[in-house]
Amino acid sequence: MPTVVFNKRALFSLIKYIDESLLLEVIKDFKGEVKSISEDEITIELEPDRPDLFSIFGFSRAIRSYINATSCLHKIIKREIPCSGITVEVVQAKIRPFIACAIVKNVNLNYDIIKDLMNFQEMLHITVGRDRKKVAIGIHDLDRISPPILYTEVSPKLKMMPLGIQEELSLEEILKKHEKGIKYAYLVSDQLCPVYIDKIGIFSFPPIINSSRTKVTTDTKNLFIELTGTDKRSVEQTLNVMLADFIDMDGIIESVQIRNNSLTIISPDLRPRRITVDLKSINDLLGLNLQIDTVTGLLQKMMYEVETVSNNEFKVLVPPYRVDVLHKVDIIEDIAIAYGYNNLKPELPNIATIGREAEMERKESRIREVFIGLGFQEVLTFTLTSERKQSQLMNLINVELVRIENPISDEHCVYRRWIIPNLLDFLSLNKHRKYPQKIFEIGYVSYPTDGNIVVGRAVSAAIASSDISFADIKGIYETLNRLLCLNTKLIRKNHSSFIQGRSAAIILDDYEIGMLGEIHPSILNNFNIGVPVVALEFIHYYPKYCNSVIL
Amino acid sequence: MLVYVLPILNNILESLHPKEKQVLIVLGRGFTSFSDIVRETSFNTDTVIWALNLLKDKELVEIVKDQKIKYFLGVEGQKYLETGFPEVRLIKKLKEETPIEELNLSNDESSYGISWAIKHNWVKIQTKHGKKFIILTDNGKSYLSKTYEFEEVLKKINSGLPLTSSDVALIKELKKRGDIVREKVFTIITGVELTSLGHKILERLKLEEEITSLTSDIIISGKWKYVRFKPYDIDAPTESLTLGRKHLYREIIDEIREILLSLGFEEVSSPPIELNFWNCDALFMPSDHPARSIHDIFYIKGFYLDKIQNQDLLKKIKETHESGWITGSTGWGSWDQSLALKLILRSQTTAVSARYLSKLSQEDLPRKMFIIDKNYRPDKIDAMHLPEFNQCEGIVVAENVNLRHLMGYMKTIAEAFNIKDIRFQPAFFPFTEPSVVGYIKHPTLGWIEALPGGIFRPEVTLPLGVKVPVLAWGLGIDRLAMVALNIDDIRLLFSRDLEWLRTSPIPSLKR
Repeated sequence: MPTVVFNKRALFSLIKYIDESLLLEVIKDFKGEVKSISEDEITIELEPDRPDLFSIFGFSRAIRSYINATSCLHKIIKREIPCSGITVEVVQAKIRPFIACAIVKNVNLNYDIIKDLMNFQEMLHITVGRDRKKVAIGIHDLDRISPPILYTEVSPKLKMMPLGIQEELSLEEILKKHEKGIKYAYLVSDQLCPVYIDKIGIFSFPPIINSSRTKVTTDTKNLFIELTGTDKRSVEQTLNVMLADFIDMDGIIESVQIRNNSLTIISPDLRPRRITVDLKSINDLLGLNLQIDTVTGLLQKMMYEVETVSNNEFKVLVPPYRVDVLHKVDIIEDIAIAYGYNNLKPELPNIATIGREAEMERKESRIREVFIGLGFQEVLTFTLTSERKQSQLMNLINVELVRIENPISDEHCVYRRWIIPNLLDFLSLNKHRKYPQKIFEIGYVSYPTDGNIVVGRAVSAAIASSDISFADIKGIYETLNRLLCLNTKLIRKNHSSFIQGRSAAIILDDYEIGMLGEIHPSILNNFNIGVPVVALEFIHYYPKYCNSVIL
Repeated sequence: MLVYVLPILNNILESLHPKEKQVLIVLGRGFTSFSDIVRETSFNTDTVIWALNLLKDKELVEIVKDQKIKYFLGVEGQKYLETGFPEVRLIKKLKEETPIEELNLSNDESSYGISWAIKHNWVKIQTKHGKKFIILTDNGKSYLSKTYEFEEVLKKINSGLPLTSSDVALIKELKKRGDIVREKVFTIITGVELTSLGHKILERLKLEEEITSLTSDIIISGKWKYVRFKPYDIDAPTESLTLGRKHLYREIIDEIREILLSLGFEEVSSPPIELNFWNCDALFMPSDHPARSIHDIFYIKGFYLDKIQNQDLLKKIKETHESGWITGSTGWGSWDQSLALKLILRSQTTAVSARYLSKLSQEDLPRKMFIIDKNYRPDKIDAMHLPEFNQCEGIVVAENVNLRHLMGYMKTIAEAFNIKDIRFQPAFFPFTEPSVVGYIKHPTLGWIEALPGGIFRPEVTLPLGVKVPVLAWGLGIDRLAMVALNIDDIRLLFSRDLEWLRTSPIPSLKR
């Protein structure tokens, strides 16, 4: 979860007219959770959908509007953006095909602001930027750039002086040596690297690093901001998220011409989006009976502006930095938040439906009841386990298992094919407990077959006792078979996990669904168990499932 | 002669108070004197008398009584004990040749003293020269050095010493002289004897004492009619029992199922090995959503869906992601089909809701569904995370349902657990809008985030063919179970400690 740390004094001075208790309430409405609060700082965990709240400017902007019930959106959207006259030429850009740029003039930077800016940039990288893959941001000192600017892909042999290093390195070297280069090398090709070049040379190597030449310092007055990425909308909206902050800082935004072949666009595009929301949808979704004036006010609280209202339809202007608004339902949620979730009266609708147990659960309740009646303790073990427990420790080889591509450890790298190994594991951990130990588990098992995966619900039971034999587990099986009308039968069958001549297969309609018998002493040795164990297991239910009917 | 039939004996036996029985048993052991009975039963005397009287009324004992007289000193007796009898004082004052008038006698000395001294022949009265003189006789002289027998008796009475018959004769004398000695008559029990009925009852009592455990012989032979069981020590420790029982976590799951079934929700189950498509894409989670990375979802090795039957649905989902299709959404701008067709371990039960919705038709509505099942996430194991965990969630599919109704269900579910306080807060989930979290107030832990939910986005419902709103809520059951079991480490939910499973009290979410 994105976590932001704001200076409290700065936050209060930006929001104005708010005390701490009100602030703490309002943070909840913006889906934030205060993690800690001290004299100087407040740490808030936010949801990833609102990157505009990740900076102190964006956060205070939203709250200011919310508590004052007036939108200050016009400050951002209703201003002319002068043209800087700078052009960015795009030639051959396949790896990161989309860019957005802007000029910010007359900024007043100090050490704290630069630090905040870098934090904000990093949070945008991680969230909307998908760790720089989708969007990467570079901020430069405009006065150290000599236009015209070219965005293109070049050979990794070319050199630049990266941030933090006082020597020229080839791009190749940066990818191998520089900390950021090593981390993000997978995002560029080893043949071609995306770069921004001016008259002097390469000043940005997105998404890896900027040049030390154009580094932003406290002396910087004018900025060149460039974004690159793989998704056009994300690149443009992320630029808008940043620019809103500079507008709040009284920076002057100027535009850049981006020329790509014959196509020229003006960047940034800070025009608001227009989404139509009808009164009926709002009231239907929220279960309210709001009037036009009320809705207009609630929209303003959330920093929307209503352009026109006709036929009970609002034409809503959406701030250009609201990357989360995809659909009118997103605006309706904001109306609900402005109205106050706790002002919505909970109500049960009049819907008559019949409660019904799942077939599988009903069956398992009965199986469970029989086992409990027979004195068995139910246990729960993990379905993810190790290959060793499923096969080698059970005297099996070449067992086909469903394997996890990205396991967290060897102990959880395959899906269990059967539960008996887990029960033996359980027994081995309870050797100091009172005997006899009678345990059972009902749960998922899975195995691959013919390019498919079978998932079943298995019933498994084991008895560990100094005085136990095949007849005991057969007695348990027969009780289950009779009471649950399983209609299965036993046939003699050897299995290397059981003592030869003391095991049987459980057969249903000519299919082998399980087995029972006396566990082989070599396995008891493997699990370090010192008493005889008898066990049974069978699959009682196959959910309606196989690979080909999923879709 | 009376013949006692069994029922009468039994009636008597039943009527006996335990203290009466104990007195009977002591009598049976040969102690017949009252003081012995008191000592052997260690009852106080009143209790023994009470018990004996009851036994006598039931004709089980005969009581031998005697009368005893107890003497006390009267007012004068007390005085005489301190100062001596007046006749003794008199003779000690006598001097020869001194007339009575000059002897300085007290009143009692000149009245009782003179008359008793004369009576005893201790003195004589003589008249000389018109004056009266008291003359000590020889007998009287001997009493100047001898103890006076009456005084002796007073001393004995006062100190409670035994009295002889001659003492008693003296007392009789003394009683004639006014308030010197007083007497009180007592009836005392000198002995108790068992009657023949008492003996019979005692025999039965003795029989009862001998039995410790009931055998089938005692039952069948009818001997039970005569037996009484030796009482056991109820504080003595017993062996702990092992029994068959549900897993503690299952108790909680069943409690939740019961509530949801009673609210009219239909239960659904679905295997946890799932297609990425249902787990994410059908829920409008963009292909590059962070929660779809290998750090958040377990991918199955070597399996990939290549046969697609429902091409129509695939196309709708693709268009919804890319451009919003007909949902009114902008979409995400792109979609990765190959990712959607990978097999995974379900990371959220919402996958099942998506499957369920895809099978509904207009005639099936309204519907309420819930599922409690296993999900998987590649989390490192610690007190709050396990790679396998359970989720509970439900959906309501019906015309005209809204956010207030969703809150209504959340409130009702909380109330089913006897939780009255619920608070709602805006929330974010990728597949619902509006989204909400219900916080419930726990008496000791404070507000707990317990009920996440929302209304499914049109980008989720419309491609699945659902044209009505779908309310969706979840229940953090692992967390609730931890609260109910009073544990703060999720690993304990899957504890492999047999003793804990065997002996923990049955947990309940209802407070």
